[in-house]
Amino acid sequence: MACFLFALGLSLDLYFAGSQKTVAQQIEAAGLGRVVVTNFSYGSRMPGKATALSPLLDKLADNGYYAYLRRLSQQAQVELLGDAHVLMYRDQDLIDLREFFPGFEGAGALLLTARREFPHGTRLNAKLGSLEWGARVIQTSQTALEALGRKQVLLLPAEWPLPQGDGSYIEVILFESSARDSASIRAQIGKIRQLLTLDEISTANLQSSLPLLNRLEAMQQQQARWSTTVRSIVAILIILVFASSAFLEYRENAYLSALLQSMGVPRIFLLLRYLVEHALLLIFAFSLCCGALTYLLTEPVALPSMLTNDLIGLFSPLQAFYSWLWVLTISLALSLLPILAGLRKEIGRILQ
Amino acid sequence: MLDSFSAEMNGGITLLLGFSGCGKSTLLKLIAGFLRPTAGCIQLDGESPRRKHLCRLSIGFVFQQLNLLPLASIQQNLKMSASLAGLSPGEVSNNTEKYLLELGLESFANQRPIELSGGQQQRAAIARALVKQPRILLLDEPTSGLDDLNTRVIIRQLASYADSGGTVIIATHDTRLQTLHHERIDFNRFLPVERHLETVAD
Repeated sequence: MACFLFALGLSLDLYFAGSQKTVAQQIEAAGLGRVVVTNFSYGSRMPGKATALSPLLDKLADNGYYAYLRRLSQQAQVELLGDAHVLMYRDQDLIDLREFFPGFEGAGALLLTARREFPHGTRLNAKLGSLEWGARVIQTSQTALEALGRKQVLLLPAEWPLPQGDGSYIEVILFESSARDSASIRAQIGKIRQLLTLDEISTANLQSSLPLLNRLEAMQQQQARWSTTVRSIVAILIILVFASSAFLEYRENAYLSALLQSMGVPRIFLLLRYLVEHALLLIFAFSLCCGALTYLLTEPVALPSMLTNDLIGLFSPLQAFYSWLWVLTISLALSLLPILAGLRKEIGRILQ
Repeated sequence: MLDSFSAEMNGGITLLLGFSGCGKSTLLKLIAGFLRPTAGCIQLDGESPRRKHLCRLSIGFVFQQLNLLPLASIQQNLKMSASLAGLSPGEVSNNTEKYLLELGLESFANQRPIELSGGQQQRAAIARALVKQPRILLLDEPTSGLDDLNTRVIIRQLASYADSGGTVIIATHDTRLQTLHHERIDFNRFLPVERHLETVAD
């Protein structure tokens, strides 16, 4: 039963570890500290003009880096690729865009795509209404593109003239927090939400790794609960098994001692016999423990070197020897208590 | 359980007759030193033994539940008993062979107790007690649950042992031990232990 529960516990641990790894990979791919704020707007398309999210931008600069983009409602037609979202970028954001999209370089009309059939730097024609540009392909990951839309993205400098359209657009802020721990990131996301609320920007939408982080934490808590439960049951079972086997051994020892005494074996001889047996067993167990400890202390993989140094520094060899001698003596004395109890019992009460 | 009891036994076979729970086994255990009397004393050769284990060397005890070593063969059980009694290796071998033969156990010598029938186990327990050549043989219900054939074998052996000068004390309520007079059992004493010890003949 203990083995079964141990296997169950191990399987649960493996299952949770696997699930958590998947979520952790998703978080890593999406960017732990990455936040995407989108807001539907209407009016001037020039990024240099004041926007609803302007107050937020000022505050984000202190906590990481960001890029501000505007996504048009129209879609461009790209040669061989079809539809593409059109986003306008500011010159000042070029450096930060390189951080968000690996492989991002240059300026002008850029085409971000995850498709591998078009090599990096290939020029493809892109059309938006009556306007046409030669866009340079920049390959990037699908995950990086997720924030801007699922398909390819045509990035155009904000200064370039564009068709008027219906005047609507979506403001996109790509923000990468400088915080590296989930608690700080959680706090920053909370702060962004608060700012959006304070500025009464109710149409803003916020995407972050927070749901994934919450999921990961929930999984960790669930794992902790399961592990505690299974380990408690295993511990109880082991205690029960050991207690019952110890009791059975006590009875067996008492029986054998009584039988041998009934045949004339002196009690002191039996006591000495158990003393020798237990001492040998204890020395054997102690040697095993020493071996395991030596392994832990000498193998840098097993324990951090700082910890091992601390452990080694705790005792001098002589102190350690005396300490272990005490431990052995006390263990030996304790192990003989049930034997003594058995030997003290009258033979006639054990043997029927 | 046992009160106001006094007796002296000098060789031969003594039967302690009585119903279950009347103190027969207790008396045997007191004699063997397996229990400490709350009052009074047990004397062997006119003296209270100071070292009980030395006294036990000269006593053979057959328990009601036999208490053979379960993992040892019958031969090993016998040899261990003889060795612990301090017999020489030669005596150990001779006695073991002798009692295995006399009690009809020679073909089961290498078998473990659990592989034997109840009667064979009973005989093995008696052989283990006899093999150490004790001066006193104490038997607790040695024939309970045995058929007549096994009972006769045991009685014959006990009678032979008593004839050779040993003292045998048997606690029993088996009436066959009384009726089988022709098996040369010398019922030389009946012990009235308190009110419980009554002969089945009565």
